[in-house]
Formats: sequence, C-alpha cells, structure tokens
Amino acid sequence: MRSTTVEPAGRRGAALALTGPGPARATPALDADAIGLPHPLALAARVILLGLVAVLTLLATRDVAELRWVGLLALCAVPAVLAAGHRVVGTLARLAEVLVVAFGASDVAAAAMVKPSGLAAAVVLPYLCVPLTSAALHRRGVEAAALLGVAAAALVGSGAVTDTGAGRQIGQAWYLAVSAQWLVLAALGTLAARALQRAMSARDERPQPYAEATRLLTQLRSVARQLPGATLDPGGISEHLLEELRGFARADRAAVLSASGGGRLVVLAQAGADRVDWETTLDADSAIADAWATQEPQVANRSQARSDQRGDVSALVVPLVAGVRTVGLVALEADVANAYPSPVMNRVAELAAPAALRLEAALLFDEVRSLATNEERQRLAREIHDGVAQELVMVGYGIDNALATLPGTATESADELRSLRGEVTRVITELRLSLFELRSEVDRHGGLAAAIAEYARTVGASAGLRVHLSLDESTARLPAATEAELLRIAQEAITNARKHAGAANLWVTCAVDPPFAQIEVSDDGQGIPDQRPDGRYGLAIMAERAERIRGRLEIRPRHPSGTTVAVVLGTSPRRDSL
Amino acid sequence: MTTPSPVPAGGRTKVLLVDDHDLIRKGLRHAFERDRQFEVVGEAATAAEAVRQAGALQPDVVIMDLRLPDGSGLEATRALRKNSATMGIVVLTMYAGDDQLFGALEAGASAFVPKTAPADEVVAAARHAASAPSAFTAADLAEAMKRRLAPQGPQLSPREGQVLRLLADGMSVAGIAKQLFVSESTAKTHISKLYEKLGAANRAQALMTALRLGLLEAPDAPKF
Repeated sequence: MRSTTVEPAGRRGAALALTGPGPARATPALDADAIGLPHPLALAARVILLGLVAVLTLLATRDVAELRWVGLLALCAVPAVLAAGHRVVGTLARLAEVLVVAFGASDVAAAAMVKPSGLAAAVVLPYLCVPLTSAALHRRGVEAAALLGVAAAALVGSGAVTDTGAGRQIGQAWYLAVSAQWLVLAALGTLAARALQRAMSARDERPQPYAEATRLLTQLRSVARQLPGATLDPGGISEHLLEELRGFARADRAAVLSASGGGRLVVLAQAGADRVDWETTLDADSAIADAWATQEPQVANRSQARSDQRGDVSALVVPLVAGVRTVGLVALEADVANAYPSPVMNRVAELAAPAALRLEAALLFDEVRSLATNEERQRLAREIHDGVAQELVMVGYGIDNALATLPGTATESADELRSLRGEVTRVITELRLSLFELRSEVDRHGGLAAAIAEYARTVGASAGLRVHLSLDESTARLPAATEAELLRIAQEAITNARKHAGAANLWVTCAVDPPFAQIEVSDDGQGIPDQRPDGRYGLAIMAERAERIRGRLEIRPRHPSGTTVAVVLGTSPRRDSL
Repeated sequence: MTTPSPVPAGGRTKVLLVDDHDLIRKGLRHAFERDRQFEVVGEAATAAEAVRQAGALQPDVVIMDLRLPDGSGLEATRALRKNSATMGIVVLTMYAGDDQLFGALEAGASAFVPKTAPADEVVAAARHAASAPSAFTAADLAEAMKRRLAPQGPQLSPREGQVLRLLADGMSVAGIAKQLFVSESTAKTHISKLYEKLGAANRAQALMTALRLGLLEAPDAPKF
C-alpha cells in the first residue's frame, strides 16, 4: 500500500534543525568526569599540591619518613581523580583524603623542627582544599560540609592524642590557629566553587531548544494569523520559485518536487506547456535521485521525465536544502544542449537557496496542522461514539421495549412510539455516518480516489442512492495535506447530496494527475434553493477548504436537475484538451 | 408486540450480553426477557470479562459490542470462536462501513447488526446465531459483497479505455491517433499513461495485465 505520510524521522531531524543551535549542549566540563577520564584540572591541582606538601614537609621535618603522608595522599588521590563523580567511590576517596590531611597535618606538626611546631600543620593543610572543592564542583554541597566537619573533628581528635613532649598538641595555640585558619579558607574555597558551579550550570542548562521552539512557534502563529492562507502554502511558494527561476534561466519544463512517503516525490508545482511525468522514484538512476542524495546541483543531458525521448535536452536539478535536510528539488529542462553551464547552475542554486527554508516551514506547518486536525477528528469521533450515540441507542431500545409491552388496544400510542423510534433511528444513522466521515482517512484506503469511492459507496448505500463512480487516478500522489482537504470537500458534497437534495443518483468523478486534480460530485435532486440559509450545505466550509489548497470550487446547477459541486486544482494537463 | 412463545423443549437459549454501557445491556436484556426462548445468563462490560464469562457460563449466544474499553470486540469474537465452533456470536456496532462488516465475518461472527436496528432485530439475529452459528448474516450483506467486488486496481479514464481496446486490436500508434481524432503525440501520451497505470513496459505486457485485471474481455475463441 502506498503511503503519503512524510517519514517522521526526517521531519524530526528537520524540526531540530529549525529550532536552531543544536540539542542540549555538552554538560559543563567540570562535572563531565563522572567515571572515566580524569578532569585535567583536578589532576593538576592534586599533583601541584602534592609536590608542594612534599617539599614543605621535608623542609619542616627533615625527615624522609614523614613523606609517608604524601604517599598516602597520592594513593587516595587515585580513586578521587578517576572516580570523582561516583557516588560511593568518589565520596569515600575524598573522605580518605580529608582524614589523611588532618592526621598528616597533626603528625607533621608534631615532628616538625620549626618553632613553634604547631605552625607546621600549615605544611599539609592546604591540601584540604582539594577534596572539598572537588565535592562542591560535583554538586555535593552536603558532602563538602560534612567533610569540613570531619576535618575539624580529625584535627581536634588527632591533636588531643598527640603528645609533642610539651603537653598535648591540642594545647598549642599555633596548632589551633593554623588549623582554624585553613578550615575557614577551605570552607570559603568550597563556597566559591559551589557558586561558580551554579553559575555555569545556569548558563548551560537553560532549555535552549525549547526556548528556540517557543520563539519560532510564536512567530509562526503571528505570521499565520496576519497573512491569508496562501503564504504558508507549499504550492504557492513552489510556483513563485519557478516563476523567479524561469525569469533567469531558460526552462521549457520545470517543476518543484518534495518528499512523500515510500521513497517517492510529489510534484508541488510545475510550469511549462506540456504535461511531464517527472521521475519521482528516488532509487531510480536519474539526476533527480542524485541531486536528492548528494544535496548538490546536478546537470544531465537527458530528460528527467519518465517517458520522454526527445532530441537535445539539458536538465538541471537543484536540491532545496534547509539545514542538513533535503526538503525538495527544483528541476529545470530546456530543449537545447548545454543550457546550464556552471555559472548558470550556480546562480540558480543561489536563487533557490532561500526558498528551501520557506518551503520547509510551509511543509512543516501543513503537517502540524493536518496532524492536529486529524487527532482532533479522531477524538471527536470517539467522544460521539461513546457518548451521545450510545445514549440514543439506549433510548431506541427503551422505545422498542415500551412498544412491545404496550397493551394491544393503545394503537394511537403505538403509532406515536413507532414514529418516534423512526426518528431516533434516523438520528443514530446520521451520527453513524458522521462518525464514518470523521474517521475516514486517505491513507487507510491507499489513495484519494479509493477513499472517496469508499465514502460515496457507504453513504450511498445507507441513503438508497445509486452511486456512479468514475475514477482516474495516476500512480503519482498529491501532497498528503492536499489529499486530506480534497477528501473532506468530496465528503461534504456527497453528504449534501444525501441530506438535502432528495436525489436518486449520485455521480462521483475523480481525476488525479498531480499537481492537477479534479473532483466532481453531482446529484439529480432538487438543487440548491436560491435563498439558502447561511452555513447550511457546508458551502462556506468547502470554499474555505478549497482556498486553503488553492483550488477552485464551483457549484452549479446540473442539467436537467440537481447540483454539481466541483473542485479543481492546478490546470488540466493539455493531453485532455482535445 | 411479540406473542409469548412456549419455552422450547431443549431449554431456553442462554445469552451473554457484552457492552460497556449498562443501560444498553439493560435495554437488550428487556428485549430478550420478553421472548421466552431466551434467558440472559450474564453481562460483561469488557472484552476480557466477556471471554471469561463465556468460558464460565457457556452461553449459546453472545451479543458483542465492537468497541470495548479494553480492546476490540473483534478480538474477543476471535477468541470465543477459537474456543467454540458452535457458539452464536452477534456483533453489534455503531460504526458504518464495509470494513466493520467484513471484519466481523472474518473474525467468525454469526451475525452483524448495526446499532441503528431496533432491539427486535438483535433478538432475531440472536435466534439465527443460535441455530446457525457458522452461517454469517447481515442486513446489508449482499450489497456489501457487490461493493467489495467492484473493480479494484488501476482505474482507467474513458479515453484510456478506448486506447486500450484499440491497442488490443493491434492498431499502430498512428492508427489510434487517427481513430481518436487526436495528434500522434497525444496518442503517445495516452499510451504511456496507460502503460504506467498498468505497470507495463510494452504493449504485450499491458494487454496481459489488462486481461488479468478484467479491463479487457478475453478474445473470442479463434474461428476456423
């Protein structure tokens, strides 16, 4: 079965392209190191501080054995750097670092040769900033605070048990002062790191794509409100583009094509005297397929039409690329050799480029609109089906039961009930057909003509109309949104014939030869009265729909009786104008 | 209006009602209770419950709504039919369109009744379903079959039909153009369009396809 839905993947890509600067940006560099590559800053800070601590320790103690603290710190630094973001390993490593720093500071101070020895705690304590800052940068504010507490406790505890020979270390004013000083410094450093990290994430985590999408959608809404339907219409944009290009380069035949489902193209607009059967298969060996795949303009010396074998022909196919996606193609052909040398080709490509985004916007708008409309129709159908329709069925069964239990003498009541039942049945039948209309889609039937035929047959059968179908559908398809509108117009016209015309026959003629299409619905009923109440007959709605796809709606009396409603899209191909 | 019929000798026909609206089930229950042939043994509001109840109660006839909250009545019908070849299944639906009717037929239903029909028609369909569960019946069946047999496949315009017949007569392009009073290039366009619709590359293929699709009548047996 053929399908005209445009492949969602491609469209989604395009939507992203439209929403501007890419999806969410890379996460802030500072916390990108959950597990895996160590962050260079974390590594460098540790290496430098370890070196500093080692040198100062040697200077202060003149005892190589005291370097064991440096060794221990280096050991703890390995998991602290490699698994900094890990919830358990990272936290434990930082805790170990803090403990080693505190005990090391106390021990080195005790062993220091300098006087007063308490001062020597400052040899190791700077390293305290490393685990604390690291915790803060990994958004572990609570952990950083806890580590600070642990450091304080360890310094006090270690000072309480360490005997310097002149009393407990905890009694040394310098030891306490230096410890307190570094605890405060480390706390300040932690707060600063936390603030910095917040600022960075605020800058980087703003929902960029959404903000961009909202901005664009708002613009689209105001544009769509201000301008008459045709501005965001793919057909109109395509025709305008062809006109512009033909003013510059010779083109005996030209067309704008865009993607449809199933690796096929649909003709959005074409210009030229003859009807051309453009090559719309993307896997064919043609300049059209090449241009689509390579996104580069292609020149060929044979026609891009399916069946044409002419003399000298030049063809130029320019892809319309919006962002990274091919939106459509412009094909130009001239019946002379080498009509498109590279300066001409470049100029055409240049002229066509801005149209790509316009066309993409129009196609997206079309798709969004038809998706939304379709969803709403299905929702409405469900609501009617489950609500009022079932309630009426219930009323009908109630009347049936009342009728059945009525005493045989109450003939008058029985007649009344029977006519009431008839009315209820009629209303349920109406609802049933409305549900059918709401639910029918072109794609379910595999083509516009088939969908219209199915609708005409079903409605005709329920209303006792004799239905005469004449279908002429080419293998090429119209854009999906256009097909949907045409189906709705045909449905409305058929419903009119059934409801109001009192006709016996219904003629439905469908000729689809993209971009041309003509749908005609005729009946042999009483015709539309001259003074018709506004809004009835859905004429206004049909006219609106026709205008949306730039079709012409004609409503005329049929000879000898009845009405003909016709909608025509594009100009009739010349082959039938005999 | 129905005259009470005597209780059938083999006991009453057991009916299970499946619809998610209780008032519809109530209306149908009344209709069945007026008829002494039937006895409503159970009601179900979902497809799952319908299958469960049908297994437990072993009804003779199930009245099945097509749209149920937990799935399609067609699925439930298929499940019931798999379990029992003799259970009568009457499909009730609000939806119009031949798809529903043929869907019910293919799922193994015994009868198809639109919800526009009066309650008595549902009872009549149940009666049919109880006696002939495998003989599908529907009010619109004959017409629907006719519609289904309507030409499928490529649709030719009247002009293309003419061209096809002339091609079948072995006429040249020039001959066809002359016959149709058109220029030769127009005739060529018609022919290429016709080939395209039939998915053919040449005249022989086009004629074979047209014969197969019934667009052309088979030539009479050669006369000697």
